[in-house]
Amino acid sequence: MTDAAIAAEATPTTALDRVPVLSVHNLCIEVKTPDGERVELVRDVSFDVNEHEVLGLVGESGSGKSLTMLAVLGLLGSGLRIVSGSIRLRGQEITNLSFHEMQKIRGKAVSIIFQDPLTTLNPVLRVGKQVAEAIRLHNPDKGEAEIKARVIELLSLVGIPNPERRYSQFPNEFSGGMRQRVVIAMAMANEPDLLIADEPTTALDVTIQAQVMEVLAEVRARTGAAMVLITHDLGLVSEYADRLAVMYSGRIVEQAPSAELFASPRHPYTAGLIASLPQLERKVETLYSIPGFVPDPRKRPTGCAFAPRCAIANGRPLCLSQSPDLESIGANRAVACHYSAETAAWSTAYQAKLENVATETPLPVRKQGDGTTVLRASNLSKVFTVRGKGLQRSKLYALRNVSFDLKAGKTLGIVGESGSGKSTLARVLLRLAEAGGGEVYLNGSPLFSLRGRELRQRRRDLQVVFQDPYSSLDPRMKIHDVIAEPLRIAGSYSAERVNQLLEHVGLTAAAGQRRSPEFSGGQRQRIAIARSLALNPDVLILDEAVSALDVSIQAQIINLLKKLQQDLGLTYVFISHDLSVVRHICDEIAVMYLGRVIEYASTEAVFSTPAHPYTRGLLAAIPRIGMWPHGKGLLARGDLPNPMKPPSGCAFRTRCPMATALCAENEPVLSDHAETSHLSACHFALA
Amino acid sequence: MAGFVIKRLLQAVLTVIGVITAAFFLTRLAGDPAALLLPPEATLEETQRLRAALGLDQPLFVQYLLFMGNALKGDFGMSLRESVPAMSLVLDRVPATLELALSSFAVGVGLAFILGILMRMTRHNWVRDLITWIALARQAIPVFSFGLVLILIFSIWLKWLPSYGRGTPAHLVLPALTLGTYELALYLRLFNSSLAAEQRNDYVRTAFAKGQGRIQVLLQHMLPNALLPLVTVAGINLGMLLGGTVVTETVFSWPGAGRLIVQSVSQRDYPVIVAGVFVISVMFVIINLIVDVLYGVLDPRVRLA
Ligand code: SF4
Ligand code: SF4
Repeated sequence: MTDAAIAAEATPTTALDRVPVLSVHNLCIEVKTPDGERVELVRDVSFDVNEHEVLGLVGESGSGKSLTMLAVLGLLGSGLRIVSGSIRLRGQEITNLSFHEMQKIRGKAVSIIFQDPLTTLNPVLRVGKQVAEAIRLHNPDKGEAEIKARVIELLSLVGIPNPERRYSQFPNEFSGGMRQRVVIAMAMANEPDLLIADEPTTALDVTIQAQVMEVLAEVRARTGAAMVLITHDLGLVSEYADRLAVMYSGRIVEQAPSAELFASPRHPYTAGLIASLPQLERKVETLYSIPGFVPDPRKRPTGCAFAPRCAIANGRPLCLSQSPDLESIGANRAVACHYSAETAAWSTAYQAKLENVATETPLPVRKQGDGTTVLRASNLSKVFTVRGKGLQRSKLYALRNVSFDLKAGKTLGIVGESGSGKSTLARVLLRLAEAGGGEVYLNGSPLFSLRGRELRQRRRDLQVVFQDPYSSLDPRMKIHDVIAEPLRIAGSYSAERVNQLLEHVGLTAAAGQRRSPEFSGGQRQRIAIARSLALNPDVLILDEAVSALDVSIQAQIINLLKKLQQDLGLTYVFISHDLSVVRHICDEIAVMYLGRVIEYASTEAVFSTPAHPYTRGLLAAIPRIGMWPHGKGLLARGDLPNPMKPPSGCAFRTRCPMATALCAENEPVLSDHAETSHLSACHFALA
Repeated sequence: MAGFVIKRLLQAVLTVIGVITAAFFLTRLAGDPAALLLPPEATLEETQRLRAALGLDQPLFVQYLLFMGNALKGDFGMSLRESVPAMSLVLDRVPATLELALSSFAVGVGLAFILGILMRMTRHNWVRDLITWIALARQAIPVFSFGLVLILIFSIWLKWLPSYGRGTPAHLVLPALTLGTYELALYLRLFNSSLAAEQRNDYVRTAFAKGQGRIQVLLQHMLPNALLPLVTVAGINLGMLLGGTVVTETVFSWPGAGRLIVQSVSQRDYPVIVAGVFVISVMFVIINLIVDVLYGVLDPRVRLA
């Protein structure tokens, strides 16, 4: 049961409670494009949010979820406007209020938490002042001392240590997690009836996300505020929302209590999303992936907007001609699909297929999986010298004695949060950064000792795909030329080869004649992969290669990567912060913390018997479908320590729930505590 | 902060030394002052005597060391035209230069500030367009013509203000307006675009979400951020105003240092040139230092880094 539900039970229901806190009816929002065209971005959206309730508003980018809630605050950007429909706050209609009249409601009855705490606070104003402002605006008769006392109370309420000192600091003196706490304090300052959290933890590390979500639940339980949680993260809403509304292309396609929605999705889109989500609890050979991509709102298909991607439409005329209305099915559920009755059968069939694959078919043999080592790193280290005030210099140990051994055709997952050193490792492997020590062997040749022509030859065997497919492709070049570039440099260009590469990644030769701005994020990532494959590399380094993609697209790319690995015998180093994805694609995992590998074992071993307290904390912090509450006692405490002054002994001890005096004295070595190949660096590692 | 200031001071001293070194060698390259000082019919012997008296017969390097040694003591030599120390000639002109530079600077920045805010606040597009248009039109007119037009209107027709010289505040109005409004378009565009960039930031949305009004958000949140680029550019410009007011000084017969240096160049009065360059470069680095410190005060990210 969530905290909201507990609070709801404790409070006796009064008449007022039966008026929804927020009630949105048939809301339509339009944008006027520069060329005068009107495009509907939010279409006929209706939902209620009740007292104490958490409504999860789920959808991929461009679904209209954030716009809907900005409309509730009266903060739609220029060019956007509400065309029709009503928004009522506790029964009061607000769509006809002026900007000025809305000022009394914003921050008082409704407040919002935005995604990125690095940018939501004003960098040049003291943190305390920014929170104080929220109070002063709605309580003009409060004195300065009273306001300051309340700010300090709020700051300590959201778990900020030393609130008196923190009051007069600036935002850049706070970590990301602490800033988001400040933003929460600001939003809760006037005990609003409704709190809107727009991707409140998307920009944070997973251990910090767990802390922030907990604080949010605590402060809400205290005031009984209702909440709308806007997110793309199904795991997160499954844990924290009571009820869900799923949006697709500007419309709500399904509404249901959270548990029911995940147990038996009724809209094919919801069912597809859930099936395409890599989950910690299961490992499947191929993820379901919803084909195609979200339609451009200017060119929505007639009929059901989901029809071109729908698994059960089968081109039926009703789907193609008539947009389905959101109709209620049962007491609390509604769905917008003509054939929603068939979704359950599809899900069951899909599930059965998965189980068949898992039990009957042996995994396909990989071409090159002959057990030879392709990539070996031995004792890699990297130290950055950071300039401090004046002549001060501090050393940042970004990598400390990182070693691994990767066999042909396998995938090694490098997992860690920000500051773990995983991106530095990628740069060092690619020789984009010079290692401070150690050596990397690629097919047996020592990479760091090679020079000149030989180095260039060897380097071709090691390619990379980065996170951001937008900035890594030149927008002025034709895709054909983008992919041909490495071939031309190597002097082995042929148009057939480029077309073959395009085909490998699921694109047509015709696509090569267009330029990258015409492609969606997922397609660009396909192009980036095709380019990296041009010179027949042995090893691909995938640096957060699927992290920026929406769930349904992410599944497509993961499946593509798996298929390429099988067809071409590729070896992957998969660097990611997302453990569910890592579980899905990797054979072995190295978990990093402050520049060290603290656990290194097979994927199965890491997930079934994690040995290091940090790994256990990471696993516990990941929100997952249908599992709540989970091992809260395992969560890492507090923030990452200053990497320039790492703690003595075990670097994790400041956050470890198991730390003892020994941990402060001796640094644990990475070793196999139980005579297995499961390595971990902890004095009290669980075997 | 103190360490930062000391570091900057050291850099400033090096800059000034570099500047006068360059000035010294450039003036020596420009030609022989002895030839200019003497009547054309002077004998070779007379010329050589004068060169010896001025120290010009020494090797260039020795001349430079002597010059630097004296400069350290504040002695830049005698003016070759008027028998007074070059430095005192320059220092006499400094107040006039400072007065003109600072007041025209205040006019430019002050007007940009007021008009920039007005442009953000107004609901009428034509107000915005009008302000932009006027500022651009002003920048399109050269300082020289604009100064003459002002003299024509305010001194000759209306007889409200004096047309030349320095003394009363009334003398200052026309030169300051001429020079100050020239910078206006630049400041205004800069201020406006940085305000527009701030508008897109998340903290602005947050401030609105707290229930703040448009004016409050503009003044309390956007302004402190939008001032940062303005301070940088305005600082550089103020430095340039110190040395580059020559045209204005000429039009209004303003007795400033810029005009003195230009006169001295045509007369090859090199001690005065070098002393003038020295004084202006010192003022320039002081202003830069002030800008840097001000930047730290305005932006905690700089101060704490
Ligand atoms: S209406 Fe048709 S196309 Fe749309 S979701 Fe339902 S079955 Fe699929
Ligand atoms: S060594 Fe100690 S502090 Fe480090 S992870 Fe193990 S128990 Fe925790």
